[in-house]
Amino acid sequence: MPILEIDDVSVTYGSTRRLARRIGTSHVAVDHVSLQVERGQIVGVVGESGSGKSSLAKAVVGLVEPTSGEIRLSGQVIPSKRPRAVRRRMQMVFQDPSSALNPALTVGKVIVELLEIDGMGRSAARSRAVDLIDMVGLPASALDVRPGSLSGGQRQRASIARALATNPEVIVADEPTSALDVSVQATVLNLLRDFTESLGLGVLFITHDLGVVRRLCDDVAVMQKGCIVEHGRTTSIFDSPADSYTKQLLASIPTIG
Amino acid sequence: MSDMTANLSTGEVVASTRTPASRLGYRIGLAIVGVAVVLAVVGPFVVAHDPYQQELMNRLAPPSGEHWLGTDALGRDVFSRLVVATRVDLGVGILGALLPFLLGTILGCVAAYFGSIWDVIVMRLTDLVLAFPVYILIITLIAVGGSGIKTLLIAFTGVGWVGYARLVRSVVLRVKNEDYISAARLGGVSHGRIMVRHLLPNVIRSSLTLLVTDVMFVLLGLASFSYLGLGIQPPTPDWGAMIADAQPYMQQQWWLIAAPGAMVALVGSGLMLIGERLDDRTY
Ligand SMILES: Nc1ncnc2c1ncn2[C@@H]1O[C@H](COP(=O)(O)OP(=O)(O)O)[C@@H](O)[C@H]1O
Ligand SMILES: [Mg+2]
Repeated sequence: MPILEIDDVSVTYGSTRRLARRIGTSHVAVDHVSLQVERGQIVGVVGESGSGKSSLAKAVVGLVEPTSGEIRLSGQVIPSKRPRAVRRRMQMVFQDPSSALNPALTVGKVIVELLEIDGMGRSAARSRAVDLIDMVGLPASALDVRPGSLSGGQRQRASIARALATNPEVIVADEPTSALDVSVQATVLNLLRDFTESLGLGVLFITHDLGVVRRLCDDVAVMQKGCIVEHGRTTSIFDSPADSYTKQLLASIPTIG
Repeated sequence: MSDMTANLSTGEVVASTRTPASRLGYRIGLAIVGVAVVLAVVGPFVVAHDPYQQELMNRLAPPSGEHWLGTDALGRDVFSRLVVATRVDLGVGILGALLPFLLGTILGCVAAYFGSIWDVIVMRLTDLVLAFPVYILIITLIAVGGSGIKTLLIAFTGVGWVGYARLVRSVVLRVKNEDYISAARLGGVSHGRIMVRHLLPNVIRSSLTLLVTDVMFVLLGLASFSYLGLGIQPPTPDWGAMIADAQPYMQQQWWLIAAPGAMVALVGSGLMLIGERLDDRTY
């Protein structure tokens, strides 16, 4: 059974107001999308800016409410008002390293806070936080600084540590490396790959970078204007794309690697 | 792997707009306010005379070794009264700024964070307060509640929270959409905790500046109302009332009016200098 099932999900902005719908300011950002992610698998969602990738990501983790469809986690349908425990089973890694971590709090405080919600005591939480920060390749001292003293790559690592703090089954990563230098991107991507396998996570990986998709993703879905136009194994799509939009995208990657 | 070796302890270098002049002003401000605070806290315990003790045989005495600032029309030691007045005025001034700061910060935060009906209610309330001229509102409240510290505090709070509420609301509206707030929600952090722990630390800085300048305005307002007999009631000493009491003797015993007048001016300017510097730092 897939760990994450996205079944016919749509997101429409401005739809709660009848007037907005009448005069046409409501806007379909995600249009009846269905996808599955297996345990230990990374599924890429690729598409140009504005194609609805972030909206899909937010709908999956529950930051926006889908206007139709349902999301299942290990076969269980997730209610539209998510209880705290359900919310914690899916975590997100965000795109912008400068907004992903609270500038007023140390990394350690943020992680310890999430651990304590599980009922962990202060010192157990602290030592678990040290483990987590070590897992993402940062020194324990990174827990005691505010994100202002960390580089972009370090912040994304810290964000991954925070995402892992709730022991999630699914991680949604919304362009986690697109704000990083190419040299730093690789280390963050390797980290995600390692955790997917070692922790048995299901990862929905959102990107506009087909090069990253080829390196990282088992499956890929190509998104255009809110719809999925092609979906399958990464290798087969790269070898023989069926959709014309996909062919166009593939033609646009530089052929170095 | 350059991100692993980057030094964790180096903070970002923030471009400085501080001039030596503003730094000097800030230090002077700190020194003045610092002295006033020390005077307010320890002064009343160490002054030689009872500020309430009348000595009718020794009225309007000039400054001397015994009475540093002479005695007033009732023969009370002016220096002791000035010291106790500093405690009263600073205390009420700080409280009169803190209460609206707290109320405004909470209401602004709730309005912006929860939005919809909360926002509408709080914003309509601020409109309502802003629609009235401040001093008319305060005088009306005094007319209803009677003069005295309690009424003044209620009046300052009722008027003063609006500035904080609007400021905090605008900052929270911006900050609440940051990814780290979403991350906290996903991690199961409650709304209350998000407001207190994740939003407020980012918000409080901008309203602290307002708080310091507000202490100044409340202090001046308090002195004015006490001067008019609407604020702190006799025999409790206070700068405004001391100025009013000293007025008939301005020609001969000028120090009676100069001393409390200088305190108002000095502490007021000191607070303004500190506030200006904090203002530079926030933006
Ligand atoms: N909060 C929002 N309110 C209204 N429209 C939005 C909102 N967020 C995104 N959109 C719109 O939805 C569309 C998809 O945006 P997004 O999901 O961010 O795409 P992507 O991440 O692929 O760039 C865009 O046209 C965008 O303008
Ligand atoms: Mg996006």
